[in-house]
Amino acid sequence: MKPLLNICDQKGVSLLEIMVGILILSTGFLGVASLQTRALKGIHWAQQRSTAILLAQSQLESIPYDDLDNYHGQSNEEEFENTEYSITMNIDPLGTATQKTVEVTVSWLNQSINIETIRFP
Amino acid sequence: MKENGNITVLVLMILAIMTLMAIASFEQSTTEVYLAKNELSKTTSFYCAEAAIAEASNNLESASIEELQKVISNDSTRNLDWIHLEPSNLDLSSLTWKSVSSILSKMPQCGSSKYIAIQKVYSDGDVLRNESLDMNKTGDSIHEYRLIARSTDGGGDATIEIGYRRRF
Repeated sequence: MKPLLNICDQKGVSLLEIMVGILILSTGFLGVASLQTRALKGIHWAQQRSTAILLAQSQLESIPYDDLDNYHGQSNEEEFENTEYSITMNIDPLGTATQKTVEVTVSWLNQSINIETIRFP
Repeated sequence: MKENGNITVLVLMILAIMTLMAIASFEQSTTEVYLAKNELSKTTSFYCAEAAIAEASNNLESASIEELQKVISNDSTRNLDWIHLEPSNLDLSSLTWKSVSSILSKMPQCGSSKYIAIQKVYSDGDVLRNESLDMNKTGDSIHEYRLIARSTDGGGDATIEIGYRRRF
């Protein structure tokens, strides 16, 4: 007659093994999570920058050539994906000719970009 | 007690897969950041090239007719050494480019911008593109130039070409 309970016949995993497993897994997950955070931050940064470049470019191209001076110092706000972008235009005469430099600055959070070109009225 | 460490192996495998996925998304984000940086440098270069075009057309506008005639006769003593008669092979890098100067006071980021002009020579009786036949009745003729400006800031690179006509 077999004994009812034989400790050597039992299958299963020891508590210790599970604990070690959880420990390794959670440490690993922490590392993965921090890597993921950095990746998200990078994507966010890139996305905001691309948006700002696009906004600056579309603003620069939409200033009519014959009405440049009216846009000097003007600024407007644009909200995009929960970020406020403020667009400022600066128009300065350049040299003696009628040409003017047009500068568009887009700033958001604590960053900014600017693009600049020359236009003939 | 028999122990084969099944759980540890399983855990390590899961972890390896997770790490691979995390690295992949991190790489993606790095690429995205490079893209955004390049976009700004491309845009800056483009507008620098546009500004160089403005300077070139300004210079062409203020050039005296004598100087422009020297270009047509291919005089080697001419001052406008950045205007070339249409070369037979269009290897533009071998031609003399002029660096921008007057725009630099306001746009110092455009230090690498340079430009050339290529003059198309028409002989009598040629009709220019988009020109009505009676345009040069008065004895003047139309001279057509192609203004080409190039700008780079180490990252992006932009080349712009526009057409320009002057009558003399």
